[in-house]
Amino acid sequence: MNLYWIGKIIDSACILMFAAAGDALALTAGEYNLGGDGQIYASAFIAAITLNAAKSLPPFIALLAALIAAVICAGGMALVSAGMKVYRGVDILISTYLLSSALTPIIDSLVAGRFRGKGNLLATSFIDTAFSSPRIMMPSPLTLASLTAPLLCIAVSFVLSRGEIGKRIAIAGVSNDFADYAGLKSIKVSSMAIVFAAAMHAVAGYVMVIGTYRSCISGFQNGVGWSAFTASLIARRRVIKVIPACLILSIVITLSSRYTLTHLIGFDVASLIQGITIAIIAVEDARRRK
Amino acid sequence: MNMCYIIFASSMPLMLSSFGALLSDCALRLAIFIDGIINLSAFLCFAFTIRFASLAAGCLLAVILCIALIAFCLLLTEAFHADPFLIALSLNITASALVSYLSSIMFSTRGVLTNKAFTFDAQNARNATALAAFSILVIASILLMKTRGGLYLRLCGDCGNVEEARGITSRRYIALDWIYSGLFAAITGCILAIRLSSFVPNVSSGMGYLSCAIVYMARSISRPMSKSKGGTGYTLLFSLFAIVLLLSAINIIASRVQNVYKNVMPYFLLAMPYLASLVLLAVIGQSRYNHGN
Repeated sequence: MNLYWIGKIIDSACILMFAAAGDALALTAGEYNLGGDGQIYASAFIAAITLNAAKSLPPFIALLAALIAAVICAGGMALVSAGMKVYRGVDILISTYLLSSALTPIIDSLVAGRFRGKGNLLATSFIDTAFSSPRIMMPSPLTLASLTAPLLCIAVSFVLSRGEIGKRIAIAGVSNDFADYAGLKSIKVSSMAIVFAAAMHAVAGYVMVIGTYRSCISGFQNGVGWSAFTASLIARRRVIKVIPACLILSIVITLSSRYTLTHLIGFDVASLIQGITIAIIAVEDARRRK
Repeated sequence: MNMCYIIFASSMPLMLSSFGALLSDCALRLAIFIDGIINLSAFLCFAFTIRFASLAAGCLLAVILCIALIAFCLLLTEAFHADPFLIALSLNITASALVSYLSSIMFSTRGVLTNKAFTFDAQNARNATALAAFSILVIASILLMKTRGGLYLRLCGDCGNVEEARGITSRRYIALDWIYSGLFAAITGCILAIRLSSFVPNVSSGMGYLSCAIVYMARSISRPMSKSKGGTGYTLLFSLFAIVLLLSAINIIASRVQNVYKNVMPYFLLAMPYLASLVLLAVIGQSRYNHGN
């Protein structure tokens, strides 16, 4: 185990933490956000093209603009799902997945076509070095931006546990009817939770662009949303527990990928581990409820 | 007429998987695993056909193994009272990963698999599989709507208490609903593989989730129209078939659009089924009901 793999584990764990914190929040509100992959991809794409368009701006302004654009993009996607739930009664589980699946090939075509950078990669142009987050454990991809993930998880957890909004979300998640009779308008509370969950996925996509990848690469989001969802289940829907859950999942997935590479194994180990992990969580959850 | 037949033939796989999703919805246990089972079944059909040099053996073994996997997951769910949604999700992800594993072990590749022993005439394959799927659907619909067992399958979710009061074990029919969903998903996988004369990774392309969305839409359309306000009636069945035909027509039109408008991005056409489902869901809305235990 060398510095590269240690840094890679921490970096992917931190990216997962952003998205998993959002998923944990959505699960607390009683909703399943299955569109994580698409939200990360769309926000990463918007962040990348914003930064490429804002080369003449001061770094702070450009980075802030890219973050806001990414959050608005993913938040907009979630707002569509939330709106469909509020006004048409459509399940968020289905609408988030369909929207994510619909946007992914469109973004693929934009990345590979109109916004493709020079070179052989199916990716947007690399962002300016002034906008990139500094690497802190060469040669690994770990950057300073990634390390904000645990701090954000702690902050979100604090707000949820101490604030009124956390109580509203928890009550709406446990019982919609009780929340409605208590005047909490559960449908709007859960919609707000979904929008915030999408915003956290946007931050994950943003950090992937300014940190690990320095551009938006076609299909680089594959599996990140699902891994984050798995981590939120491992964390039993508690935002603070997302930190160790993501670390454990990242260790398992990264080391299995390393094993795959070094032993020339051709199959998708990460998905197999995820599938079995979710089954174990489902059984464990049932045992705990007994 | 030719266009109508093309739409009809191309809609059969989605029709089968949607019928399976409908059965799981009757049990109030969303079959999220349909996608994974379609992929797994398509691969197993290809692998066993090559191994035993028989398409019939390939299809049969693929279906049996998929059902066995679903039965195992059912056992887990029932034995530990686990969340069926999570178990189904786990099955979906594991089935897709299993395909990758078995493909690399048996064929040393995760990519497209072709073999002379698994090559069929495209026209004949489409016609034969369309006819087979249509026959299966007709028989299954009759059994579902006209037999006592079918009635119990339809009511085990919404009216499980009524069935229990009549001395009928609703849990058995809930389990059977899941098994039958898997059966239809497995048959869909075999059909897709036969039509392509190969195995293509992720051949389902979200068909499982699309089927769940179609069931939601069908319920929304049928609920105000049916005389009884619950359960599964003819209105729901025909609404389901109508939506599938509509989506298939949109798909066919989308693939033809490229011949006329050369500037249309191909990836936009890939997104078309999902966009169409979203628009339909937004227009039709969804009736409020539970979809899980």
